[in-house]
Amino acid sequence: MESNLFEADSDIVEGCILGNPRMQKALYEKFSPKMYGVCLRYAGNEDDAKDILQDSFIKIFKNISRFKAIGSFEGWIRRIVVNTAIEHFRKKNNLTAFNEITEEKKEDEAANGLDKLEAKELMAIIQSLPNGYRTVFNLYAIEGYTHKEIGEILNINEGTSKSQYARAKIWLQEKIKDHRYGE
Amino acid sequence: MESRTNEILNQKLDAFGATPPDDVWDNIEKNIQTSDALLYNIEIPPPEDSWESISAKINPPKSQHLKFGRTSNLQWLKYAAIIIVILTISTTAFNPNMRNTFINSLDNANIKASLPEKPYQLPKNVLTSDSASSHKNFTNKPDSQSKSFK
Repeated sequence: MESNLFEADSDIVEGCILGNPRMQKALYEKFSPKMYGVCLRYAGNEDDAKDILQDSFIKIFKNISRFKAIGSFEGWIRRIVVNTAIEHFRKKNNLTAFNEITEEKKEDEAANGLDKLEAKELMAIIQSLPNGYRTVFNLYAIEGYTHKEIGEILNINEGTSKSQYARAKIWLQEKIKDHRYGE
Repeated sequence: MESRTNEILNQKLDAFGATPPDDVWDNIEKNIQTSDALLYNIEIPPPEDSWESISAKINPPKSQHLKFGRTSNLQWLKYAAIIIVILTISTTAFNPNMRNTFINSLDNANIKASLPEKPYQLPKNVLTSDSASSHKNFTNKPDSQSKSFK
């Protein structure tokens, strides 16, 4: 899924370490669309996503000399972006208030129209999640972190991560149902 | 007993409404992981001005570097000039030969400026002739002048 450090990436990394603006732009152009997708998933709106993307790339360029070509370069970049998104919401104290969410009614019907959902539509639905739910959902369902790891990252209990993920699922289910009926 | 417990538990869960049916979530997960909607790898072009903001933060404008470079060069030139002046003055002051040359050059310049081009020469008999006669000549002058007044 993630690309290894190809020769082209190696040139870009070396150029960026030397502060070559052309290579910095090459790196940005190569990875920014995918990383902006990550930012949009974690952010509730485009302004926040843009801020996260900027902060992430500034960190990437400042710390690129620390990258060791053992693992995936894209994975290294993604981790910085995800961590920056989490920091962003920590600063805003948006990783609390999970208990304020109203409990949703059980939806008996299966979401049969899901396969018709486009990625962008699904992205929009994920963006509509409350901040805390969205973060846990992204980390668990999409990035593949365990609840234990999420608990360590967000400084919450493992059980809290699980319950928030369950609630995120309910929220998504409702939103997808609304989306389907809204068509 | 166990079935009764499960029944109560399910009723409570139904009332709580916190657990969606598994098949619903299975559909959601399938949708997330389909190739058309692979959110992990979804690519969305960032805003156009995003790179400009990043670039400005990681690479400060070159003009500032140049300005700083020019300023620092001027400062070094000033320091170098001050050091040269101090060395010249101290060397000239403490080295007798250079000091004399310097003073002579200054004196000559003043003298040359004040004196006529042809040096003035005293008459040779001024020092050798009788001083009395010269005194006489000097003292006679008022007499002659007094005579003329008469």
